[in-house]
Amino acid sequence: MQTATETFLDGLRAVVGVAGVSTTPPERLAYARDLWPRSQLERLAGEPFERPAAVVWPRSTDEVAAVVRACAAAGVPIVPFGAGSGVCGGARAVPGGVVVDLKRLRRVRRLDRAAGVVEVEAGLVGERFERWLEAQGLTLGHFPSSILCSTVGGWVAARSAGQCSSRYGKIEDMVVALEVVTGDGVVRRTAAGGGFDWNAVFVGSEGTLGIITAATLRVHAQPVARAYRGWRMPSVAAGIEVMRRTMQAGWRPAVVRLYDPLDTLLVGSKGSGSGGDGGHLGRLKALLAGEGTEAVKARATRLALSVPGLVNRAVRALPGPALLVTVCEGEAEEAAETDAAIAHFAEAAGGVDQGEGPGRRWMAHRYDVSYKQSKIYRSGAFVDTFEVATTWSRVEALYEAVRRAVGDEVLVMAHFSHVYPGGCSIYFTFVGTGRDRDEMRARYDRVWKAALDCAVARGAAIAHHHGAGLSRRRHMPATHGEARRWFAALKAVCDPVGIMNPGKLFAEEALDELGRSA
Amino acid sequence: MSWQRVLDPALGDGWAAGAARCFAVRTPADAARLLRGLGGARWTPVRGLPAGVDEGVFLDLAPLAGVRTVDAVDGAVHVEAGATWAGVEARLGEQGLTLGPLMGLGDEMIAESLAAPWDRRPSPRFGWLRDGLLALRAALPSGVTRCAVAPRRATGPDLARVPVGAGQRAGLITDVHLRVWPAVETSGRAASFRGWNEARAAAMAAWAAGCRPVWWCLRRAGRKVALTAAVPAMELARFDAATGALPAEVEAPGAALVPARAVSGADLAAGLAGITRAEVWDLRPEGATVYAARGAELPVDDDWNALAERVFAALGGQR
Repeated sequence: MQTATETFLDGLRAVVGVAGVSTTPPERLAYARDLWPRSQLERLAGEPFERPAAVVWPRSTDEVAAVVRACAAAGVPIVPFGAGSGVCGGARAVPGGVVVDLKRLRRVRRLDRAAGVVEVEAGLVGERFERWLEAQGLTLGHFPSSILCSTVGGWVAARSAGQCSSRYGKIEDMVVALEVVTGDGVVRRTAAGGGFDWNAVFVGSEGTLGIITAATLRVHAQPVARAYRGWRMPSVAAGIEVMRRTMQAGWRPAVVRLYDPLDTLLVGSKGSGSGGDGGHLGRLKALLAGEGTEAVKARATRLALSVPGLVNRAVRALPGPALLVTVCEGEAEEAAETDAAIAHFAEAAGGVDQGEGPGRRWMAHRYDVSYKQSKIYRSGAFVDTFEVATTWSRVEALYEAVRRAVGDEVLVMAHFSHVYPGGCSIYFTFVGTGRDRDEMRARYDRVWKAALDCAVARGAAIAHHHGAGLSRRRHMPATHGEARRWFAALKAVCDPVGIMNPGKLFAEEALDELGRSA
Repeated sequence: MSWQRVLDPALGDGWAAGAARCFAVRTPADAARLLRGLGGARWTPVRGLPAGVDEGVFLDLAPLAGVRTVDAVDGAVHVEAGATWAGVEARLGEQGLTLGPLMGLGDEMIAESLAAPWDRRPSPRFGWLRDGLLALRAALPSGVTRCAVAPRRATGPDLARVPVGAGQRAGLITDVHLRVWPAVETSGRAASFRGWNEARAAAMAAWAAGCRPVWWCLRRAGRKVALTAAVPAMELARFDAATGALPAEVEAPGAALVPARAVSGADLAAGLAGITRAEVWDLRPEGATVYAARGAELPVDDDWNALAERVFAALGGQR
């Protein structure tokens, strides 16, 4: 890989204009990383960030293609950038390379209302896109918790899922066609049709094969009705059974989320009113959520985190209820029928109807979680999430195995969401601390490794919708086996110089080796 | 004709150019060894010795045709790639499960159908054939890929899709995990309309009401266009209200017609122009695929096809 020289940057300025290229320190710093929590730990430890040589803002697909061709000719690495909300290091800059920010590609190019498709440029921020669709009486049905700070291109590149995925699918289910500038600088447009499935190749490619510049996506009419409900399930297993039976019977609820006892407790503390108990659980809730001043809360958090094994075991020893939240939508009849079908399964599994409250409260606070992490870092702790996916028969065992594997290191809780006929995602949240920054970072790494080892050993998918980036790269060979050769072949053809987001998904050295042996 | 059925996958002795050879594949590892030995020569997967062929290399998947596991809880079946769809469906039927409608695929091998350039079996309820693919293992000259089952592929590109639609150029599919469903009770429904677009509009009204029939089909019936469908009991009322359909004896689409034209948008009538015998089985809000007589297959995009050829060449598999 080469470093961008001033002559090279002048060439980029000729393409995108002088204002379209920045080499100022603040901007190079701002674009040095995404929201991968490990980067935050590195920053707290005082480690310097590796910064790109420049940030580039192309205005059109043709300009993107020209930038890619220039980089390919000079051997300068490119990191495509949407809104930087990734949590796996997928948009972390490569030193000496350029970051290509797509946010100036933000037009809705075409809406075909009768066909229910819209073509939109990659840099449009999700919330603005959804608001535009809403004004047309439509919805994409894609509501990731990062919707306010993520882009359409980022969704596609990282294989995103929204909170209503059980009804509308993940982003790959919404993609009809893509416009991509591959690493050789050629603009290519996929289309529905026969032969090789190129959409499947570019979705989830995280900028390693090319830059997604536009997507044609399926859209839907705004739902006419919604039915909200919460169920107090006697156990996690009972809740999982309700989710499985609902999906395998062919119902399509928009939202199905099951919170484990600890997560139920904390949902209760946020005001859903469904999980809070008196007694031991109530005291634990007070300990974790804290009441009073910020200082008191921070002290309570540190106290709980100093004995994570004890707290995790306490939660396991006193199994509380698991909260199942559902939202059914569509035409009035469909929403009501789906809600009734879930009620049938939930009652059979011992669930107690909590009314509309939990569903409505979840909807009102659905994006809150993304903005709570900084408070935890300020209190001297760290927090992160990882999501895995597996089949129904393995869900509970995987959940327990991960909790056991990391439970002595960090406080761990989970919810089960993104449900499909064959299984679901488990979304773990872990919170930990350490005597100092180095110990925190070492613990953070151990927890990630232990959790992903569990997923690999049990044949689960090591991610569901956050992508792989750098955080899962180490486990990618074990996940894909010889299929890595397929990726190496795709990379060799789509990105012959190897400039596209190098080092992400798979380590460069591993791909080089595969390429040579092929 | 110089047929030789080779039981030992090790190649090398007695190999004569121009002779037809058929190698029995018993395991994925067998297949990988064979592909390594073939060194890029062209081969064709078959089920049993093909008749009337005196040249070429054939990989016989008949020994690799078992149903390994049926898991009703996960809604999945693990099956070897030499099995036929009808064989798997029969086995599932014993447990009240189904792959969904087969639409003429019954006698095809699973490896063959999945590697074919066109996706098959459009079912509003069960999806396309490829939608039912949960995991896939393939043999490459270098070894065998992993085959972990998950409800969704989630890390990086969906690499399991590389050999799908690749016509065996990206390796030999050896075994797959497929989605299975509880068998669903359906009722036949039929309605007739003045034209294609009116029929499409009625079907899309049912779609908007959340109906996902097991299959549906539009075809010309005299001067009208008939919509026929197999509708799950739980959706009958909504389907009838949206389409005005009535109970009827209906017949599922078969394999006589092939995908001939992709129609995007709502103007189905314009998309059917010039095709005299057509049916529409794959009807979605964003478009449809028109099925017509053989010889009118949809063209494959040349640019992408050329790029795919380069990917296959980089893999070093069969030429």
